[in-house]
Amino acid sequence: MARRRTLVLAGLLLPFAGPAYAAGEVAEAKAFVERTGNAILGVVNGPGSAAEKRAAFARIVDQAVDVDGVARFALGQFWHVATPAQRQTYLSLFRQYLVFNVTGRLSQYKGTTFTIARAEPMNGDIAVTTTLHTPNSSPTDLQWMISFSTGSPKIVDLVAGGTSLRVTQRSDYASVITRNGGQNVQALLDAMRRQIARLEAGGG
Amino acid sequence: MRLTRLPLVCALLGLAGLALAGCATPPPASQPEALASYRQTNDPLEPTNRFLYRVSNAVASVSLTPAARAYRSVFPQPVRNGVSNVLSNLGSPVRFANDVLQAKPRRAGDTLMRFLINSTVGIGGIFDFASDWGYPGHPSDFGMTLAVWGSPPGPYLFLPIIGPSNPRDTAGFAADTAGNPIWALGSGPGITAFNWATLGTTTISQYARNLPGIEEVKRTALDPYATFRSLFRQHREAEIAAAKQGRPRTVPVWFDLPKQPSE
Repeated sequence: MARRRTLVLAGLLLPFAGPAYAAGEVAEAKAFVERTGNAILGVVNGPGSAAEKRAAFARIVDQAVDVDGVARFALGQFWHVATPAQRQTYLSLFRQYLVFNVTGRLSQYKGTTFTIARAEPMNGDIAVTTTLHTPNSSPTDLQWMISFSTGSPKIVDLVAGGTSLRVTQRSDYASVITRNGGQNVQALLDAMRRQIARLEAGGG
Repeated sequence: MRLTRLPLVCALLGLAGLALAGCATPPPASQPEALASYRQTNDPLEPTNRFLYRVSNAVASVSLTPAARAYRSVFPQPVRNGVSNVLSNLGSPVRFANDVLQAKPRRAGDTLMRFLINSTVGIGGIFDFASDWGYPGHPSDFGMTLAVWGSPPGPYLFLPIIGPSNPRDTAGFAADTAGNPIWALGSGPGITAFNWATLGTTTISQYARNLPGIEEVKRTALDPYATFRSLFRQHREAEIAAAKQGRPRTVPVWFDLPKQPSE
């Protein structure tokens, strides 16, 4: 009962906690998502070989995504277990993985257009909801979580059908680490390396 | 509290000959972070679940997956959408009943209007006009009803054919199946054949829809089992949160339309 009361209290206070976003930042986040979405679709629907497209996505990822922030979130509690050298290796592997993962997913968005439904502050970030219109299928919502913690707008998460990319990623990594002896960050780094090699061989 | 019943669950599974790999052992209290993550994952039957996951994958790779691939290559997307719409429309009565049991009148209204519109104008549910007319579809099943009533999901289960689930949703699935008004049509070879055909088509149609996503997870995840577990749980929680919240809009889309030009 006491716990429930604390939760209710926390819920009431939550909107006032964390960085307060000005209306200007909400509008900026919206414009940022529109720009980034158009840049991505420009590459998806544009000319160029798979390798050229991957290079173009790598540039977009570096510009638009808070890669290190997402990486740290995905490692969760094990960030504190990792040695400084492991952290460096992990951040670099995570970036490579992200580019391959994003490139692999994007081919299915050929011919897709999107509209921005709304933007609102949510849990300290700004959630921009876009509606994707893909030929021959019903429209789906994709939510972009935008953070200003680095000073400029950056993507920190994508949420579709209630599933968050970074939360899912964290479950995946935590499982690899705990199944290989509880605190084994090295096992994760090895698995990531193997996976990147596999994705690279498969043409991404 | 749920964990105290764990030995019993394990013993029952052992009796059923299912606990081939036994139950997972919780980490010791000396590792609080590992223990917290164990509780949060809530998958005490993980070894058994992983075994069933492997078996299901092996079986699916020679049955459901080729069938779904063939289905995708033979029928174009509009036909597949039509099939999926018809099957979804057949599920409307059960969805409506659950909306009512959840005491969500607007969601129940949506489901009812969808059934009326799509069964008639949509020619037996082939076309989903209701969505365009401001009655969007939503999932509603007895597992969600139990959740709205306050039931916790219970430990994660990976079931053959059904896939990711938990005791609450498994009970819900059984209740929805038993409560389907189709049984009231009576019995006989025609009804039995229809039910089997519906079940078969639903399985293939749903699997074909999910296949690209499933293959994407298997391609990109380090541990697909853990990734599916996380995806299932998040997706389910979002569906239940939406059901608890209900539908805020009180005016259908078409009622708003004439006002827009003057704004």
